[in-house]
Amino acid sequence: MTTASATGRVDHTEVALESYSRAFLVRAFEQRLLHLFSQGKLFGTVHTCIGQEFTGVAVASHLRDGDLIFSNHRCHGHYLARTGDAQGLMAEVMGRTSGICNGRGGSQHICSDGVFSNGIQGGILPVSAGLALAQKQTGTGSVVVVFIGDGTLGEGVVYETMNIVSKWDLPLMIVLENNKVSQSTKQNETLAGDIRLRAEAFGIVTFKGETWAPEELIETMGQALKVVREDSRPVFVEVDTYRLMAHSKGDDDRPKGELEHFWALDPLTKFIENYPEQASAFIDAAERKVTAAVERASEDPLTSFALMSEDGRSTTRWQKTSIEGRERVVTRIYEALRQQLAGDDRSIVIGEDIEGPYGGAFKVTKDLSSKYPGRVRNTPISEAAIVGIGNGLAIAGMLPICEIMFGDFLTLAMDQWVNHSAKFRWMYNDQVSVPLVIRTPMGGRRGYGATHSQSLEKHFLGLPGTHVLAIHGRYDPFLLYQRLLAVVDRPTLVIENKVLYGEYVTHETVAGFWCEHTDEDFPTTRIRSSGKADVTILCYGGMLSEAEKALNVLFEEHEIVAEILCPTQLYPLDLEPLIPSVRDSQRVLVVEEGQMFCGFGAEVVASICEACPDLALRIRRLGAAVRPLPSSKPAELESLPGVDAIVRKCLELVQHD
Amino acid sequence: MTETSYQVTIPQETVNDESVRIVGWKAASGTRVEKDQLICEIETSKAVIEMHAPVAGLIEYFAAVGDEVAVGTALCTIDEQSSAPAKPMTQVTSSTAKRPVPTGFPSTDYSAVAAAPKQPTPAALPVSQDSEPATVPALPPRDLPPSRMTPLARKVAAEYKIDITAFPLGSLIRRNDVLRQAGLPLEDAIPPVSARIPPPERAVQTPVPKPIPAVGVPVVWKNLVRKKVVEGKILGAGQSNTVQSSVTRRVKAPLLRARVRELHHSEAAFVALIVFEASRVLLQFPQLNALHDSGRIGEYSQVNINWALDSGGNLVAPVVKQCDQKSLGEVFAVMERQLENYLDKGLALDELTGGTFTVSDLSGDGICFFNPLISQGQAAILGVSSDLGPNGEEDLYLTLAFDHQLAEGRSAARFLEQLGTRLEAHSFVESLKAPLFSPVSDTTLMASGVDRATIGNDEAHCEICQRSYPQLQRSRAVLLRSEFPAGLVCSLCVGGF
Repeated sequence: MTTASATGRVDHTEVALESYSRAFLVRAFEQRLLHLFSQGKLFGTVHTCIGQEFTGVAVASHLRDGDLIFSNHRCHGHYLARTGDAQGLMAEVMGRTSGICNGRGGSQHICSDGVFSNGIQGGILPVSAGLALAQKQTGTGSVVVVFIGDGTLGEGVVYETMNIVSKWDLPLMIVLENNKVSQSTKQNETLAGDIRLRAEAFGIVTFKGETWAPEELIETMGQALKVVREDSRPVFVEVDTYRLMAHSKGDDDRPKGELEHFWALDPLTKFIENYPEQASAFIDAAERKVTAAVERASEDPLTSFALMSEDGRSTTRWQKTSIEGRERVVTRIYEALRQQLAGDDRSIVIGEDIEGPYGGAFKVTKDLSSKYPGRVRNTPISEAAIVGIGNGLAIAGMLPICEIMFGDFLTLAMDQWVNHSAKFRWMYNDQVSVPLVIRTPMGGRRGYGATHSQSLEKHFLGLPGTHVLAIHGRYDPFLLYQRLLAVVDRPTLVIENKVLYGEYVTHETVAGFWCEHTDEDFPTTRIRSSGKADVTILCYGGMLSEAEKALNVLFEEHEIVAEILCPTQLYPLDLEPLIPSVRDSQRVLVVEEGQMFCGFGAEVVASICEACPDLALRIRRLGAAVRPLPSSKPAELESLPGVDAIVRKCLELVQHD
Repeated sequence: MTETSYQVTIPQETVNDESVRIVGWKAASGTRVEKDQLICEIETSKAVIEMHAPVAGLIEYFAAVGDEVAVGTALCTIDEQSSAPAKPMTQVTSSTAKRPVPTGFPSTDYSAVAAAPKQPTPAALPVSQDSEPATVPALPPRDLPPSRMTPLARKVAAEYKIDITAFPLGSLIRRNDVLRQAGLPLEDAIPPVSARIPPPERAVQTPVPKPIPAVGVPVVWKNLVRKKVVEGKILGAGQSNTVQSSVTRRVKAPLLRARVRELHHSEAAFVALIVFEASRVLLQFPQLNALHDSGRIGEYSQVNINWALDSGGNLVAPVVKQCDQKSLGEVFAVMERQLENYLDKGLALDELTGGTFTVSDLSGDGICFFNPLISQGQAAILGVSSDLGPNGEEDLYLTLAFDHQLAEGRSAARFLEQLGTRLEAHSFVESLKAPLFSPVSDTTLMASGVDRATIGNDEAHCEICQRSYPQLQRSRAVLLRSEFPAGLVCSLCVGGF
């Protein structure tokens, strides 16, 4: 790569020169960002990689078309090294409409030309693994590179992912930029043990390099990528480096002497010293490019959503529910998954213990793993990685269906749902969609105790860009899943209350009443009679069975006609199908199985009151008792809203003032 | 602008049905309807069918909810001009004649039929101020689940011999649904939500004083039979909403009872005559065919008279619907049927609901005076009693109890005066012997020697009901020349003379 000349100076190969040129561009770009920041021309903050430029540059020099990069908050260098697109990135950081993400993402959330980044550290690892799985599954031969820092090693999902990518032999190169410091905390205060041994413990081949020897680093990266590409297996590259500027802005308290030491070691500083003319040419070219980028971006309009409008929707139409045959809910979900796997190669089901013959904790996936080998996969107990891999598969154009064995465990994947699933499409300016389906059972009445019986869906409601659905037994879950898998274009969480699995799917309901549903993708079911109801019971999922029983008791024993509205789409919630019944009865009981505080009921009630300012509504809510769920059967049943409590609340509603 | 009147006929929907039942009117008679607007629901043996307006215009009809109407006959007419009709409707002369469809409008246009949801029969008559919005189930009848009753509803229906098959398919029937259909006061009704702040009446309501038994006398308490409790509630409700006053008038009609009995021995005959005449007089006194609600008067758009009937220890008050549209013979026929049902299988729901005025006749029971109590939702009740006058002849005493919020002594007195004059006239006129209690038909008219009159004068009116010629046109009635009363009598009033 390099040859020693007669003068003793090192002559650089073309590749190396090109790398220096790129590194100077990154340097010039980020120095300009700091300058713009000091001028008050940037909104937010910037994380520069000044001093670390050669990591990205070295990797990029070996990448091919189709290879992907997932970077972190400190991503400018990686992006510029790969694309050279100073113009698009500058406009993005400056919040302009011509930015690569229309100014939505900014400095740390970029997406363009196969480079992604997100401002969450460990979380990007399983997403990268998902991208890599997609490459492997579809046989593109492309590889994926993910950049993390030494600080990221504190996050558990890193290890979940290293375990899986090794076990599954995924073509992923993990590049760890070891600059010995987190935001401000020195590595020796927080890191135990050895860095590369961590990866080696998972059976991952490791490499080591440093940015102070750029040519060697380039070569090392080449070797590492060769392993990934040719052996289709992950590698881990530790790159020693040093961040010469603050983590962000004005937050550097490292000793001046230490900084001076590393400035002297900086390969670009040395290149300027050794090759002033060449360096000057590189710097001039870089400065011109950056200046042009700033000038052009400054002329572009700042991104604003003043003119954004909400989607309209047509008027609700109801149709009588008619379900042929008599099968259990679990069978109907299985059938939807089976048909999906049979009809669409992009579909992949992942989760814990889902392969046959075990076939899932609730037997939903049964024998699908033998019918569709490689596309129904057991994972380790790694909920964050499961959803993260789902995210990666989804943005790579696959159709992942993740099973979280118990809804309670979904909290372990909360970061993926909140900071990745829900954000990618929007912050990347609709350049990707995230057709991710997460299925999970929630709910009690099975004696599983405080951590396996909860209804936690309220914690997952309200994230723009997501859907949360809840199945029930009066609308065929097969149809719901079939439709979902046909139209899914966003992260969708489907709540399957666990008492439902054994119930039969039927439109048969309480005598004198019938089921009807709206003509939407994810319908609202209404159980009604021909007359006007005294009370409207609003519920979803597993609560429908209890509400139905209450409907019967209310009529038979209390002369009260109630009707039930049961949406399958909890978020975004469509109020329209609910309002006519509420207007008729003016009495609303919202039943949810989880905790009520700041819950679904509170939200619905508030929305209904806002939508019907003319009505003097009478409202009750019903949810779980304010304590964790006990395991003992009678104690658990006392803690959950059931038929007796629903009847009691309805009686309160119709009582005279 | 030309004006055309279209007749909407009852379509033949099934091979089995010779007639259909009116389930509900969706547009008030005399109001304007738009083309394709739902105007009526009719029930065949198989389904409930929606009738839609073939054209826009003024709708007129006479059949009441619950009436059976023959297939092929007119259901209603729609006058294409929206203002009140001013020209004769030449196509329409009789309510029973089969009419050809006017040319230019295929028959299907007149009965735009769709499988339609069934709708519960409205419990009360439309009151002129506001009508209740209908909650229409989105299902055709074949898809509706079977009706279902609560245990309490079953009990109450059995107690009052209510024919539960009259409830529409798919009904959820509760105690109050049965009571409402029976015209009885509701029990423990769920209050409307808007009444969160107690209404002033309730706020100032004085508690019912606890009765104090006679000192020192032991009391044996027994529960009243349920029927008595209910009756008390109806009357109590009538009292609580009215400011009751009454006037009484003596009527000298010595031979009237005997004359009626000569023709009909039925218990219902004498009261039928009173109901018939009262219905005519009521047309002049809308404030007595009304109800009061918080400073408003609601004038009923029909004259439906309850007549008190108590032959078996159970006081009921069946309703003769649209009395003012029926001849004496027809009124009597309805009451005879109700009497039979009362004694036999029980009165149908339909026969007990929708009354707007009440007649209570105790004159055959040796009562010389009583003070009748106004029923819930009504403005007046006529009590009939009798006594022997100085010359030993029977005098009738008519007592009108009325709501002083809506009428006053003078108008009540005028009502009784008119009614009395009519009744007195009957006892002196030979024509009572004419075929008194037969429905009107051309044959009857010819037989009674009354000529058909062709009248084009808007000021012409019926001597009996006082309806003007244009009003009669809308009811498809014709005016006939009469010897008594001298002048013109309409075909609605002529039967029985």
